[in-house]
Amino acid sequence: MTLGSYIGRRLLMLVIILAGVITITFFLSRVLPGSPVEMMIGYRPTAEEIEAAKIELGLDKSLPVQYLSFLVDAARGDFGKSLSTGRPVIEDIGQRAGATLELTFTSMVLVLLIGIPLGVISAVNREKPADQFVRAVSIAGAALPVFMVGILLQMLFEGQLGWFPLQGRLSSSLLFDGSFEPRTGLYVIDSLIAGSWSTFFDALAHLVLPVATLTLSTLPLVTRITRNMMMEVLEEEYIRTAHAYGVRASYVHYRYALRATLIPLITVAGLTYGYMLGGTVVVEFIFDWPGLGGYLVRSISRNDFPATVGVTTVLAASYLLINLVVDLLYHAVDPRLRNT
Amino acid sequence: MTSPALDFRGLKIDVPGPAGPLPLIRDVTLSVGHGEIVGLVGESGSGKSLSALAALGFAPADSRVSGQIRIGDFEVIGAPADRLREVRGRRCAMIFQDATKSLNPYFTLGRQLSDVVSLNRGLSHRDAVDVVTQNLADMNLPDPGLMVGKYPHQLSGGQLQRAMIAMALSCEPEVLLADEPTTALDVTVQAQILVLLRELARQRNLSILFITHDLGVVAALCDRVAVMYAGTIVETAWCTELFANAMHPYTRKLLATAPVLGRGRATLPNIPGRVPELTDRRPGCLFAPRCERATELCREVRPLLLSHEPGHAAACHHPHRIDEVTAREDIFP
Amino acid sequence: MSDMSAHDPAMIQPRGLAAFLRRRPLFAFGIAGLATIVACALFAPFIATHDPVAINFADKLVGPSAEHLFGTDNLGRDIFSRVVYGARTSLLIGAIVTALAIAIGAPLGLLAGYFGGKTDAFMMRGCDVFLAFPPLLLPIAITAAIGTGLLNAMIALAISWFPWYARIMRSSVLRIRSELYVDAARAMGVSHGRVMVRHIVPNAMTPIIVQGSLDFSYTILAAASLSFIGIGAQPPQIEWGLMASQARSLFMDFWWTVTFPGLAIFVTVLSINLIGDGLRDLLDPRGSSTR
Repeated sequence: MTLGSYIGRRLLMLVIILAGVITITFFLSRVLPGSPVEMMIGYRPTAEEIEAAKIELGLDKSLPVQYLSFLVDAARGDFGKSLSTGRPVIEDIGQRAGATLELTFTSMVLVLLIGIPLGVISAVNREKPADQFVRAVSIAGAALPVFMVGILLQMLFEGQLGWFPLQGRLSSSLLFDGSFEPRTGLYVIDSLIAGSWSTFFDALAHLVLPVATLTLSTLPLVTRITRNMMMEVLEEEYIRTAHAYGVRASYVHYRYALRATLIPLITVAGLTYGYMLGGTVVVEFIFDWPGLGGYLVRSISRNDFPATVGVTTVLAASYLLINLVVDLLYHAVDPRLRNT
Repeated sequence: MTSPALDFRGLKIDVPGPAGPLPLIRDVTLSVGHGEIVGLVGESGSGKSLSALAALGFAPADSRVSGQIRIGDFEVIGAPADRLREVRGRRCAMIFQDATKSLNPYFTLGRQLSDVVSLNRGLSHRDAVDVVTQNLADMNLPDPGLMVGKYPHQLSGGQLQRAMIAMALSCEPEVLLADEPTTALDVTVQAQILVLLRELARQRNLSILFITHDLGVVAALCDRVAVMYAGTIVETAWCTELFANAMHPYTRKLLATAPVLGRGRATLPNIPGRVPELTDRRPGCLFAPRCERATELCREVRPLLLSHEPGHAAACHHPHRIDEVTAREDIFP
Repeated sequence: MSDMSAHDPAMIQPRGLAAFLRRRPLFAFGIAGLATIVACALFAPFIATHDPVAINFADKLVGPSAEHLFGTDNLGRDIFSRVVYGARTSLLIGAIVTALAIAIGAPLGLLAGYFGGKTDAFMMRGCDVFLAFPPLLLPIAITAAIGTGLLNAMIALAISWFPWYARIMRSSVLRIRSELYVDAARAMGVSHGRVMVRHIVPNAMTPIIVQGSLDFSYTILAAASLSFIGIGAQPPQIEWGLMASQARSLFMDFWWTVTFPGLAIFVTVLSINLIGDGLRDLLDPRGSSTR
């Protein structure tokens, strides 16, 4: 099988699964008929108002027709208008995607940069103090819910030390004086483009605690998986071969074993991203971070179905896409898959 | 002959168990002379591979190793890790059973082999690659220049085993430990590899400890044979002598059930009874329960490995004598 | 000697549970922790010092003291008593969600694995769709659809978690189906249903049970998160995640309002995880501390 046909097959799978995802979200959104209507027109509507709303929402048509048009619209990125902001959902999403991207991407980079070395150190020093320490901390860390990590960080760094701002992405003085104009939606980058150091540091300071929360709560997972993978590799016969030929232990560990571990670890990056997306919903809620997670929670609490469905679909799609990229990358770097 | 190239004296390896230590290796005493090929024969689990690995300083986690293992004048047991590294590969190299698993799938053949050469012989990377290419050519591998750029999965089992031998020889060791290097290969390739090893031993005065459970292979290749049973050496003899006049009842049974080289698969010999458990702490001969010659003496006193003829030792109270010969001519090719 | 474990036929078998506990103090800690939580859940009325829902504005936001071990919240409710009662909710959530997910997933996996072919392909692709959602996001979306509340959050968690059990069941069934006794039973004219119930299910349940006990703690964490963001348990229910959420505007000045519910979650989940780790070692001593 060539790489081209592999990519083709994977893309087809992606489309099918995405259609499945949209189908699930569609049926979820129609489980409670009537509520979107009520949400749209408010308390005690007249019969005419209900009819008009149904027509506007397309609820007057038969279910299969609704489903088809929903599928087609969703495929085009059209999830209808948000019932709470009154704007197209996709616009709302576009406006907030940058915030979530900034948060998850930074955390992702950090968690891989910290978690992988920790897991490797732990595996190489198996059952020694370094390993026992790393394992103890990650077992304990895995028992803390995301929100407790966030709350503890807030108590420590804001409450006790006063180092970092509690909530939001920018200090309100900067946000509302009109000097700052987001372009990419990633404030740290936007402020650099604008050449404003004060804005940059302000955005960075706001980023620290949410990123730390998301990173710390995903860290045990990444560390544990890395440790397990590395340990499996260290048991391989080819590692023994290297030792048997007098190759230095550090060389065996950090060249041979690490390379063999990093390749399957690529797939862990995809998994981590999924956990980040789940975690970001909670983190954005705690830190009042104006991203997709917070938007989702708000949409749910306001019964805003189009927005809920839209955000869920977009986040799920991004997860699928990341996993596709991960898979292709995996095929590109594993020599056993690359040349066949 | 001065000191042997490889010498085991009373090797014992124990791992801790719930009711005291479990003996993985009970008593291995064996030597391999310079330029000599010694076959180490026994059923799976008798401790052949474990003994060979111990010669390179490998032992199971938590195990306790005692006795002596010398490679030339170097004492392996108790040597610190950095001293061990000077021996591994350089003075004593090992060929593993399954070359497809023993070579790193993420690196090219050239990279793995040249790493070993440049580390052990202090060569630059480029010189090392040249050495490796030459070594691969010596193993009759086609297109060695192309071969160095290949990953293990792109090569056949026979090619990989040759590459493995090339790697072993690249450091010009005095001793080669070969752990069933041909078991995974088909018969034709197996024969080619055996011829290759034999030539190498002659040309380079290389000492080889050849581990196998295939007596046909031993007959084709080895000068001397040691038979292992339940972690103990039970008989050693010159190859021809052993096949003609095996003394130990276990060896006799092995020979009687052995497949013939090229005509049968190397399978476990089918001897009635079972190999003793590691927890078996009976005082006498470990083979006694399966032996029809066993007497009260055998069940009470463990026999020592003693020479009954010049160059022929057996650990048995009632060894077979020459007059009982029923040699199997068909084993010799 | 180097400690490369090349061959390792016999590993150390501990003598009995007592020796195992002594060798693994963390496992013992897990047992003790979980036992405490279970005791809280079972005997909440006897352990609690106050009525967990009794509002008493005169005593609001009092710090930990002999009268209120963990202090009181903004409505003057005794946090210690609420934490004790919260154990009931959390353990119940864990048990119900896990049981429900197994009840949905295991039969699907059984059918898929047993009949194979198109049934299998269809069901497994269906599971893939559920697994394509980022974790935690699917339960959030389902809760959004069927309405917020603890019961709905539990249903949502079970729905988003059942595909894992379907997969585990399927792979066990595939393994067992190829065994001879299954063929023999079929050849003797035993019906499909009977073969499944008699021969396959009993042999396939072990991995499911093991996985279920490991997922127990995940479920408690996820449910607490859902409650925290306001779509799980609703007042006046007593749930640790909800307690932490209610303390969101208070914890900067009144640390005990959030610390004790958080600690309760931590101890519960940690205990279960430690027990899970220990059990894995006990069942599979060869791979001890490898996974």
